[in-house]
Amino acid sequence: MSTETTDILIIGAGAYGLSAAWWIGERDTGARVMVLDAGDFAANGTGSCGAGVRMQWGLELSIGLMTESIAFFEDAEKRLDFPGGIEFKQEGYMMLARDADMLGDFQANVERQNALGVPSRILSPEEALKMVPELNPDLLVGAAFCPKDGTVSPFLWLDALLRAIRRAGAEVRFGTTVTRLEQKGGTIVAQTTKGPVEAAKVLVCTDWAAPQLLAPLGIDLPIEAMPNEAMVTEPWQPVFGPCLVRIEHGLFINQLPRGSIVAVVTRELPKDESSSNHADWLPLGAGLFVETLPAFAHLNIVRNWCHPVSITPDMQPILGEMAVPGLFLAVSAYKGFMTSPAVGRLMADVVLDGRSNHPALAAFNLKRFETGDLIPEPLVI
Amino acid sequence: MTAPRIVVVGAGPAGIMAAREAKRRGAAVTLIDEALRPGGQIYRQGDAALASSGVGLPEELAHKRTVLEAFAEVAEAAEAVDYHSGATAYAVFPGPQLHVALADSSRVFEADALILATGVGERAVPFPGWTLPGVLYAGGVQAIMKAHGVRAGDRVAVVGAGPLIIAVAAQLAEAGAEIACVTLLTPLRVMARRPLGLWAGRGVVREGMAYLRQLRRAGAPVLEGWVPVHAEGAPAVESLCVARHDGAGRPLMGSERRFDVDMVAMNFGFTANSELARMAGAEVRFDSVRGGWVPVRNEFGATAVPGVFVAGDGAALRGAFVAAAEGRIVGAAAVLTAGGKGTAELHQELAAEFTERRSHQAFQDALRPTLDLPSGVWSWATDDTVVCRCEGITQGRLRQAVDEGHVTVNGIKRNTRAGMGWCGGRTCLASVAALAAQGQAGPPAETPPMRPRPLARPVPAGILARREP
Repeated sequence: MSTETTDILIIGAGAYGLSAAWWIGERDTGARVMVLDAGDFAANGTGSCGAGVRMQWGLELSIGLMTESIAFFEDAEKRLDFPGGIEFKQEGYMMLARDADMLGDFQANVERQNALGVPSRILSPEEALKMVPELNPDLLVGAAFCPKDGTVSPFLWLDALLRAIRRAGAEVRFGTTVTRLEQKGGTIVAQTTKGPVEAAKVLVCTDWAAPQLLAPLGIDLPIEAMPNEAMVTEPWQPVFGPCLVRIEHGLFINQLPRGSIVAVVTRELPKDESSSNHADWLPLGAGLFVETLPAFAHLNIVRNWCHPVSITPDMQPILGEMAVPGLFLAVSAYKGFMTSPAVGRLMADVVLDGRSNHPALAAFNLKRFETGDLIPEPLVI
Repeated sequence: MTAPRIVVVGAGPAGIMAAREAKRRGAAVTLIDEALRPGGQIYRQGDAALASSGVGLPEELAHKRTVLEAFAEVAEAAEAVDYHSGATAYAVFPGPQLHVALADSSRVFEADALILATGVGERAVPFPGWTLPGVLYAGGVQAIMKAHGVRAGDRVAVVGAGPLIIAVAAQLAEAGAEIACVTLLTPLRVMARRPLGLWAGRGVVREGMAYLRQLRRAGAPVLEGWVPVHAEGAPAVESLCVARHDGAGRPLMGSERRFDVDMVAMNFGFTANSELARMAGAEVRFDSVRGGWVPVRNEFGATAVPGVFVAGDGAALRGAFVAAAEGRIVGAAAVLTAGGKGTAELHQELAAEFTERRSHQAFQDALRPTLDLPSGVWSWATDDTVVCRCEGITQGRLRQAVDEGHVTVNGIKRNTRAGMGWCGGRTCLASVAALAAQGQAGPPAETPPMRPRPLARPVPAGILARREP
């Protein structure tokens, strides 16, 4: 098979891959961009996520990425020329505090967030119940709330990016698996199921699947896959505003603008790349859902799905150029969807210029796992 | 040796006969059924207080009695089958184990063998106006007559493909409806290509002729080689336009006829309820006439997944007589396999059942061409016709997705939301697959179905939250 060539090859058409492709196009350098994905549209992490986006993190770096990303989501309809928009329901995230200790922690977070410009605040139980009257009042002594957080449709987000980058001339192909990366002179050749592609630069955005692609090049990535499971109800009106979080249970509840309620329960499970459902999940997920929103016990659950998310030792992304010249990596650590606007921008800069002055790039490098400079995020759900 | 635990899903002809056969052979049998009374869709029983269960002709009613007597035998035995009515089997996990929603809680049934006899659902071909109130599935119209003694319309058009159309039209006429028209995609005489098959099904053919005579007496026009063009009315259906088609399913302009109606009954074949089998990990093959993606099985109904069997129409549409014979084969094979018997012994022991199934199967083969859908039928929907009813996704939006390069069923689903709603894609899957096939320039066989995930049927959160230990 003859070898195709491109300037920049992006592997993975999820939120990171497509956002980076869009930002590369925005720079208007004339670089030819090709994006390859092994699956079909939205087949992996982005298409399976709970769809929440939040500024309420515990670390300045995370907050910085999300402040930038949420500003982009607010403007995405215009910036991506996507009439109808991406269903950004910006009505906040409410993190329920079950006791005074937790509320104290939330209070400290809110102070730190406020100092960084995040408009979060503490709600009394009465204020929380006013926003979500269906909430079980016995579950909270208060809550942390940020009105800038919310939910975006992952499918519309990917579709908006996909159409925009195709309009800008990028080549995006689904159903094409990259099986191997090889160094060849100053370029990199990607062997794929549809023939080889040679590129000056390659950006790998395959999340937890990245280690198997990079290992043959001598690059060892501390990334694992952990199954994560969710369910969705039939549509119900009226729609309550905020996304709900019970951090001690890994529970996230989000009512989509069309009325369906998504519930995700993240729990510690052994490393596993399969997306098979777990037999014990539905009683757990439905149990926490009903306990949190007893008035919705009658709602039918229509679907329950599972998909692995990426896990790193400090649950922070790995971003930047690898030891192989021209080879770049962007792995999210289970927040690729919500951070994709900002990470796409900084990765575009790194790929085009070899550098970016974005603080996240310096911090979220691969070397930190050797030096031990981990950056643990306290507010992982 | 303890008795093998056999769990059967579905109390239609296949499930009931499988349960009886397994019970007779000493198994501990559990029978799970969605309906409140046994019989399945085909032998649906009405409310006991209504004298409505007589819908049907003598041979059909005799078979119904046989099946229901088999149910009575196992339900009233000293050590009866563990029968759960009004119960929804919503997931299968390795084991095999079956997850079931009962009235107030959910329960896991561990099985040595799981027999899925889940039947079929009706297949729609979308045309403009098919989502108007008053446009119903023909089988659904029949079910309303059988279960509730209610005639769902007064002046009715019955449109579709295959013999069910004739039966429903005649039963509606019998119930006092005026039949405005009956249209069949393919003339029933194509069955004559297989005279031996017709002979094997002569009882059923005789009853079909009786239905046709009944329609003729009622003055109902039976238009063969005709298709629906559009239904109109506000807020509910008031008229249906039909036309002759070109042989490939596309209506011939200029041949239209319009009928004033207050109900349209429609059926274009069936889709196998294969969700549970696919969830269990069974491979599927595509058979457009016999139910779309159907589980791959051996002659005893066993899939390649240990302990998972499929019987009846849910494995491949062949009607109640084949289903009942096959139920006996699969019920016996599940017990005998659990007892370590090999293929040769099974063949010897089940020779009579195999002969019976073969004989009924021959008639089904003769029927087959009446249910074949030519590719042109998928062009009836115009760009503004809603194809996915749950999410309100139009044919135009689906075409756009295909034009933009989304040519797999799952890719189209995630790009458009078609198939993400209440019905889990059962209604629109055939349409989406046909469009995907056009995008790939290949038959739907090459397009894998939507990934099977729980729940096979919606279940309230409160019931899932209460799992019995």
